[in-house]
Amino acid sequence: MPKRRRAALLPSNIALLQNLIRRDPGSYKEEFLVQYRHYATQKEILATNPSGFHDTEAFLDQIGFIAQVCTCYPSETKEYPEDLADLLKAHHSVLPVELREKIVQSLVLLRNRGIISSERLIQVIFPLLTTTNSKTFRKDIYTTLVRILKNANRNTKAPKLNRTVQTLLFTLLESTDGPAAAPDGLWAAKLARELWRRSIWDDPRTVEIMKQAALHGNTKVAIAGVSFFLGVDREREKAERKKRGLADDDDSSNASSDDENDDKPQIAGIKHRMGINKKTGKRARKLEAAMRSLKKKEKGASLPTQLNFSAIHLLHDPQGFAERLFSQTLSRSSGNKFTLEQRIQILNLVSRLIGVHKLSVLGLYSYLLKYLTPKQRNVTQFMAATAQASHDLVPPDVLSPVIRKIADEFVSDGVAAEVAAAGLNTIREILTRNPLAIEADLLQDLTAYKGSKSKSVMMAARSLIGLYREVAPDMLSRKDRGKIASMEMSAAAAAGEVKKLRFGVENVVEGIPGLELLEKWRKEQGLDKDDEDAVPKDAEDDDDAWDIDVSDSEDSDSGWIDMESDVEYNVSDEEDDADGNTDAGEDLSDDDSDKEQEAEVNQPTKRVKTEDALQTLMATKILTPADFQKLDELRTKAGLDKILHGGKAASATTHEDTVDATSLLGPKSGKADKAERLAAVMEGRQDRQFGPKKGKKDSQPHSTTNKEKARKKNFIMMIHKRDVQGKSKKSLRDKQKVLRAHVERQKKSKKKH
Amino acid sequence: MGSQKKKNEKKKEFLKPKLKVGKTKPKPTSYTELGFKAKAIGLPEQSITKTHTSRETFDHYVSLARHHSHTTRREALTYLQTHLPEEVDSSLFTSISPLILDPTSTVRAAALSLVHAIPPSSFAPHVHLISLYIHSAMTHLAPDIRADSSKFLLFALKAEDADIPMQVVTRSWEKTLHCFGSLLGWDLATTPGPGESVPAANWNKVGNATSLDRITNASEHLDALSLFLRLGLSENLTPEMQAQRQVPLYHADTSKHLIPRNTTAPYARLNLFADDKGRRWTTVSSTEDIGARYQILKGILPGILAGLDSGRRLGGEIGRKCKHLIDFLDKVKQETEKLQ
Repeated sequence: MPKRRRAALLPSNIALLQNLIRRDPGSYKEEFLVQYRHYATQKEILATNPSGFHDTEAFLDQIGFIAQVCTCYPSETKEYPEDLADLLKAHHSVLPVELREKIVQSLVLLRNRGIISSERLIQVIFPLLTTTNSKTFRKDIYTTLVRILKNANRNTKAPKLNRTVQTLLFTLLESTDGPAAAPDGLWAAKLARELWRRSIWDDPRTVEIMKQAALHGNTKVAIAGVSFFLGVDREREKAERKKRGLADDDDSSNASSDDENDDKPQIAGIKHRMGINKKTGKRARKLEAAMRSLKKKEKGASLPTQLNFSAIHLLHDPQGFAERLFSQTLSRSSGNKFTLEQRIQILNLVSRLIGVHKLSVLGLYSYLLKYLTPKQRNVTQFMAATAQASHDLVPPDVLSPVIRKIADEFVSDGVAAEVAAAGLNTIREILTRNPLAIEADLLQDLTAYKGSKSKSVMMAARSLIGLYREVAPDMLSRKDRGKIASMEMSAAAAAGEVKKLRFGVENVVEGIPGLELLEKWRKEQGLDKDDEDAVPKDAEDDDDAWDIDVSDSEDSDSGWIDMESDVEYNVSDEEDDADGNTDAGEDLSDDDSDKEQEAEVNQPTKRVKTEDALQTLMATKILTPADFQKLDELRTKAGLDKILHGGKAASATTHEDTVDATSLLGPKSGKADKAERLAAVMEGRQDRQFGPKKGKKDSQPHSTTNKEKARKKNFIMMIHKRDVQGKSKKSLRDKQKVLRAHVERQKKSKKKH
Repeated sequence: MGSQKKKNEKKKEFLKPKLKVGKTKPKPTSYTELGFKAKAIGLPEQSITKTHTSRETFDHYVSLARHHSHTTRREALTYLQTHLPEEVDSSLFTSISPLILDPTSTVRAAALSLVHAIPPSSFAPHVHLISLYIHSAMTHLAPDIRADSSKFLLFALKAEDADIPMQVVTRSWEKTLHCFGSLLGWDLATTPGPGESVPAANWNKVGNATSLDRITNASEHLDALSLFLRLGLSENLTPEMQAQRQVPLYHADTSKHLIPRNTTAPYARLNLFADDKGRRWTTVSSTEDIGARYQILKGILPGILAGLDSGRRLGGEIGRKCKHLIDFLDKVKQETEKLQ
């Protein structure tokens, strides 16, 4: 019966009709068709005069209505999405704003319902991004695009869709070169960058797009591309961390982020209610569920980040890119299209590329020569770029003029201490990457600054000495070499194999470094011998050895203490572990002295021993993670000893590291000046609030305060209390006191106003 | 304190200003300074005694036809009707044709009477626009707008200038028929299979709530439909039309090589200037001759006949009209099938 009555109901407005259709599409097909026809007539009217169309409201409703219900009548509304697309394409510039938005919304709705594909939707709305004049519309489309791509790539990557969009971006960047193409290119770069930042795109094609942008003829687009390579990976990491942390800064999906942000107060609220209200099973379950979700999220937060390659690593043909970038933007023929800041940015990228991929762009070094003078603006940036651009495959004769120039310009007695320090630090950074780029006499000249009065200069010179003690002690003057380096040198000379740096020879790793230490340790522990005999025990051990036992490693840490031979130790026998750790502790004193003797005399034998170790251990045994952990321990111990005896080892830098321009200046000496102090103060104040909190507290939602309650209390209830009665019974003196205080207060408050 | 301050201010308001001899009288607090300084003052065309030309007033009232208040709209329409010039330009049509869809019935009635008053010669170029709005009204959600749509259609079909009804018939034959289907509640979209019968039309859906209105509405719709079908399917033209069609014949085939004179847009069906891709509801279908029109009608004829049949059974005026229409359609059917 009710159904029949509903069928007899004549829908008078479109919302009602939509509701009825949702419930019973079959019965209301006729009404829908009438509406569809009406929409068609409206569309025709619109087509006759799109700018003068004034029945927008009704048409909006019509469009939304059909988009909502067109899943019920798929065959009748086959052409509907294309109609909308055509409408948007033909009249987007003259349509009323709300109508335009509604059409885009409806198209998105149709995509969500699966009526049109994401590709089609993007094909429809993407061209509008660059053709429309409206700022808000452009922003709308941009966010829509990002959202579509995000949703498509949510669970698994959608390669087809990504490729379509990437091709569109490519064409935007490729087809037009010139000033008019700037907005197109900028939007393409912006979109690609945003998607990369959100880790939606992380493939080489995106990098190619940005490469195209960096080589774009327009300055803005080029800089957008360059800054992508320089900064986007850090941005992405930050975003990733944020996502894994509590706060999700997802602009486009505000709803989801709101939910996530609400979680904590929700738990607090539920707990509070549990404390006050009646305890019911339902509330308890609610709390449990909330706790579970929180735990889940925390677990997610601690998950390891997925492996992502940085944009620079994913570049295809970095050599060509670096060369084109250099010749197009930096060399003199391109003219001064870019400002100094922009040129520095580009230079930074080129040098990063050269450093990371070990490219040879030889023109760059002579280009840099021009800028390496103390009076150059932002010279530290140029110096950092120089350091980044050097690696061991740059011919020394290309690099040595640069070093000579820096030494001449920066490191002399006539310049300020910080200039000299910057010069020395830059030279050190270059030489860490390419130690052959300096002649011995120049190096010795520079190391003579170790006696400088300025601390920063002295430290810079010392770091240079430290570096060469490791890589080529023979280039230092005799007294700078230090004990260990000279001993090693003399040992090598005695053995007849003088180690000399040679260009193009990379130090190849022949085995696992430090393996001989492990071998020795195993021998000491007597593990090698019962390798064959004690099969059952070993098997047992092996099972354990594949997982690194944390408690075990802590034990062994406590067991391995640095012990010098000339100090007496009380070795306690009351260690709880009886399996070998005590033995190790006792052995140590002998072991260390042995080692020193070895270091003094037995260099060649050590080498032989190393080879043996490689032979025996690598050939006979599979190293377990536990073994590697032990190896690490042994290595750090050996390394520590070396540091104790032989000064500071140069930190291991790789050619991929960036050089921070501020670090080149060396440690800051002296007091901070006022600006710096102020900056520090301001930094401290950043998240704090000052001033009275009275008004702020009132503005926040809160329950009634005690004061308010007291004020509202019925007078009859208060009339017999002491607060009220006491007033009349007060002594004259007390009354006077109160009055005086009141007058005083009044005066004060008046002064304030 | 604030209250004290307020009190003082209030007190000040009631103090009588002291008047002194030789001093200018103090200005009241509500005084507004009207003087200003300027190097030059331009008064482009300001005149108190300005006379608006009739043309300007007319345009003003044309714009008032879109006023948000329905009384203003109605009054504007009555003004326009009384002050119609000899030649009416397109701005009038673009602003009054949306009033076919006006939610207020009085405005629609005023619009109808205005349309009646417009000379047909200036009406003819805008038939297409008007017919778009008529179609929109025929499919409108509001029942009273739907009910009034036939009045406009009847006007267009009965217009003195023979060109006007022919334009309606030739340019939107199929669409108008479908719109009639939705207007009368007939299901024309689905063609019944052999042996099936089309479900009886729901005459409750026609027009307004009261039964009397419903009958008048339905009869009006049927009038419009029968006129439309007769115009479209029979060569029996009115004498004026035939007079117009008379072409001095030099040769038996001369008329074939002439530009058809009974249409304003004779080659519209070629779709030369439109970029739309031949969609069903958006193009001008090629319905220039009776044969083509009948072909289109044939597809939806069962639906129409079923609807008419159910109307015939109701009896009364509607029944009579339905019967006439059924007879006419049968005749047309026989004639055309005889020809083929």
